[in-house]
Amino acid sequence: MKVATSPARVLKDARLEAAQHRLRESVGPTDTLEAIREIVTGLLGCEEIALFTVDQGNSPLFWSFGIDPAQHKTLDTFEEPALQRVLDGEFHLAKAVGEPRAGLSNPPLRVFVPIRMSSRTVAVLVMLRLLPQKIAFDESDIRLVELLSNQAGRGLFGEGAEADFRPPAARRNG
Amino acid sequence: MAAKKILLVDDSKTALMMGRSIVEKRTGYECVTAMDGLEAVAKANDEHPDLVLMDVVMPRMNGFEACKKMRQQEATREIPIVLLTTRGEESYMEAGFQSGCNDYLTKPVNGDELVKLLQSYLGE
Repeated sequence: MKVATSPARVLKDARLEAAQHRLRESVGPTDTLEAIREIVTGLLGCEEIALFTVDQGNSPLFWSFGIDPAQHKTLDTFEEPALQRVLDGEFHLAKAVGEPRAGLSNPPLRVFVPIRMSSRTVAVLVMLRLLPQKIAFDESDIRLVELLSNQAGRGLFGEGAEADFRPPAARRNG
Repeated sequence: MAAKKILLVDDSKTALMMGRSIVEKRTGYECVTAMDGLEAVAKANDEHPDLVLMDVVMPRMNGFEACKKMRQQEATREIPIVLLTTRGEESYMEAGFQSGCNDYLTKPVNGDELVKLLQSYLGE
């Protein structure tokens, strides 16, 4: 018996499958960072991204895209009250600070994603401001975030990752 | 009758995978892909797609320039072109239409909206 899949489900699965495949196929940290950028900008709708490592005491900025890296040298510059929960492994959605956007009733959102390896948070990915047209996070967005949380660490910090790594420059979106 | 053909253009491997998956699972159209504007112009000439779905910000040649090029060439002048971008500002969309595109979609792509738009050009 063939089970019909709803069109909406097909579309959501397409996003998740593409992201899963891209992360799985990424080779080393440089390519994994590119995969993260593609997923966050193209599928989740955010062009301001920062990644912090958390195993060095002050959680320094490891890589960024679309932001001024000098303004976010460490994770604690965000002064996010829920940061400890993120470090403990919980994904967190917060209202972003800054100027409200004209014509929008909803405040912009900021997303904190723990990057996990072997049940330990090794980095935190911060999506600083979602695009104006992205006003809410739905269940399929959360599944994408969980995917990043559970699978991005392997390519960034897994076995053999350091040997391959060329520190990427902080990038601005063009 | 041969399946309608869509040329997907994006420098993001993730976006190409997702686009192909949506098109192939939800429609009967065939997909060919390119990863920048230059490659897109060449593929449009070689493959004669029925529609081009193209990102704007890409290396080597962006979507606006590729769109203009396709409009200047006899073989590709009439192909419907839909531009995709994260930028939804009116001025940016205007630049897209001035380059010759037929439609404009903002990212993240709403799959339902995409399928409806493709079907409006190509039929179901």
